[in-house]
Amino acid sequence: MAKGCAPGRMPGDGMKYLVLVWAGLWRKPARTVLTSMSVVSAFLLYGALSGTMVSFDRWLGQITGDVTVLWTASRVDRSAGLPIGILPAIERIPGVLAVDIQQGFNSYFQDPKNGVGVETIDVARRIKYPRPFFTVSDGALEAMRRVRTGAIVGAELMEKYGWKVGDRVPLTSGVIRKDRSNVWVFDIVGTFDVTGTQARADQMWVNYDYFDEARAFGKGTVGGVISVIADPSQATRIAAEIDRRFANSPNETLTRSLGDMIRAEIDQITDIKLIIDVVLSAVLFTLLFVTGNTMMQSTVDRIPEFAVLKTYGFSDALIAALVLVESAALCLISALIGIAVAATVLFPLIGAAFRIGTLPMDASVVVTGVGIAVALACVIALPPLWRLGRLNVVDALAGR
Amino acid sequence: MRAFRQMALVTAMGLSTVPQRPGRASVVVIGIAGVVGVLISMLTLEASVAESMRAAGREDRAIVLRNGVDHEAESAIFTAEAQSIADAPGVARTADRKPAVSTEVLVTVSLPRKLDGALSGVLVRGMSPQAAAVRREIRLQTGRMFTLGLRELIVGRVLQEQFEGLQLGNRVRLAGGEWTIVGVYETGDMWESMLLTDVATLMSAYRRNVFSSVTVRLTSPAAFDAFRNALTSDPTLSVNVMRESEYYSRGSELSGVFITLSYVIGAIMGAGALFGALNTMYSSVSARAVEIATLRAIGFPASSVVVSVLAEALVLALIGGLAGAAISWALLSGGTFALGSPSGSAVAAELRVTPQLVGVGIIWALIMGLFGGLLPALRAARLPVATALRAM
Repeated sequence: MAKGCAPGRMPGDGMKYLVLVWAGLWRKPARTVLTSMSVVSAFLLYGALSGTMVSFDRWLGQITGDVTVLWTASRVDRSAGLPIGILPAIERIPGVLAVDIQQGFNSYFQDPKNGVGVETIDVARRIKYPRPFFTVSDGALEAMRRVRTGAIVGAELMEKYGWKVGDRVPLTSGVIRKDRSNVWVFDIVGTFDVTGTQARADQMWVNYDYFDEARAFGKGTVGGVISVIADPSQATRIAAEIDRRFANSPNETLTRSLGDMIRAEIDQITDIKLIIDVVLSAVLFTLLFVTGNTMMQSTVDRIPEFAVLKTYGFSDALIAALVLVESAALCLISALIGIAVAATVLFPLIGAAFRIGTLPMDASVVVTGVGIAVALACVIALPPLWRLGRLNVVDALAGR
Repeated sequence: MRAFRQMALVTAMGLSTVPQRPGRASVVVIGIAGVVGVLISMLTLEASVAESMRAAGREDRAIVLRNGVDHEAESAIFTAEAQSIADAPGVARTADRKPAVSTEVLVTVSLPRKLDGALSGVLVRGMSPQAAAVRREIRLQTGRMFTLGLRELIVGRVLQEQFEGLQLGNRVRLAGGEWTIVGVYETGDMWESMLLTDVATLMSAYRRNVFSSVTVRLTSPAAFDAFRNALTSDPTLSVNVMRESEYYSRGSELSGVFITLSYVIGAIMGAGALFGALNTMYSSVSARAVEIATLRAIGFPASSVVVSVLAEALVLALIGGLAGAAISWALLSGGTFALGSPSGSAVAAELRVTPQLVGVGIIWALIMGLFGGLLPALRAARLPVATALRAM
């Protein structure tokens, strides 16, 4: 644009204009730095909040792996679950490759502060459908078949309490045993670890059969049923079919994809997405108003200088381009700094706080951020441009 | 005294010129209003939920859970144990000499939220017939109490606002078929985000044979120790006894995260607004350079100039802070907000922008005003008088 508008007397030399833009930016260094810091703050928050939401969504998508997993729970009782007897019926539904149980409980080791999550597994089904992201030590699943009280413990948990394979660990839980005790003792027969950040090795797995037989209440039920399906595009149809199969029975079901289920659980904690959106709009509006106003003021202050450029034969369009490039440069550089700081400084902190590891900054967040910065630059440049168009050179030079 | 009068004069003069610079003043006011509005709003969301939980716990009530468990949802208490708990010393009596004990069962069901129709967890709590003597704060707003033995529910006022299909006379699908809503109650705390019913009916519909928890009203708050000692020293019991006020004061597991998030956002956003304010105050000093130099030339001390610039920044910050508080109040007051825990269902609370939180916001605004005004004020004081006057 700048090139096309170059006046005859000034040979087309891009560098010259860049020097002008640079000089304009550093005419009042303190003001430029302060303005830039405001924009950096705005995009730091934008990068952190919006980036976390997008990355988290992406992360949720990865949890389900490359197979589609459906989650079936009781429609009328989230706390108790479904009878294990419904598994074969779900397995028979066309499109379902494998089914597995989901039943866990909370416990602690020695002190209530040392929480230990326990997942009960059906070893045969776990061998048939190994979970993505988990690697189990050699022979551990086979050992679980021999040792009813066996446990496969996550590497992180082993390290935390200094446990070794062969150790016998007592866990206290709210789940009461038939003998009225609520202390569960397990024998560690193996370990598991995770690959990537989609899962954590901070749990332990025990035999469902043993757990179910030993517990006093809720016998024969599972918290949920997991179905692996062959064709992801059939997920909605198969989910509806499972629910239809149990409609009007004492065990009405609610089936969703695993990702949807986790998302719903998170939504239930709070309307976090709504809050983030509202906060983000407020942040962007406020800080962009502040910087926009300051930058506009700066441009208006320099109207006499533009008048000088005009007397040198600069066209209106060229001056407009210079103003626009200057504000775009300031906005873009500051926005990118803000997003970069969010990705390198805030993301690891957020990841640590929610224990999900450092998520990568999504490219779409950077692209949207650049879009917002350019839009901001245009809005900022508009009023001065409007005044430039009506500029009376004589008045402007006189500072009127 | 003289110095004070000079300061007041210069300050008044400086402030009187602010309306001539509306664009610049609005940068400070709107910037700070935005920051304070966001900060107060976020803190209000958390504080309302925490307060609604805290208010549910009373000093003169105790809650009994399974040993090793600190949430009702995971707890189990046998019928025989419930009897021993009712017979323990320190338990208050109802008018007809029965122990003031409520044996309770919790069930979490999925109901559609009004916000987006998504199925979300809702607590259904079964209470024993003596519950009214334990939780005397439950007042029926409309309708009637549930009938023992019938599939009837009463709904909390806040829950009714947040979820679909919970109007008087509506039927809700729970285990065992349709349950009818026969009343709406209020308690003024987190109990308003539940459905209540008769414990025996709920247990039979859900095929439960243990209670989740037992809550007793004590003869006085001081009776707690004797009550707890009696239960913990009983070899046939394995229970965790807590004062109810302690149980509920732990708040939501997410409170801490939410408060930290509020202040981090408030600080980063505040820094952004502060840079804007600094810019404004610097240019305000430049705009008043001649005026300030003239004052200095006719003998006003530098201190009165410093005070004048600082006062301008603080007044603008205060206006911004108040505007921010007003925005939060207008947006949030009377609304409801739910914050839950990953393990249980959400606790919905009515939102109240409290004077304390407005105070926090105003302090935040004044800090920004102070920092935004200080450096420009010092520059104003150091302004070379002769140079500035020559600019005329």
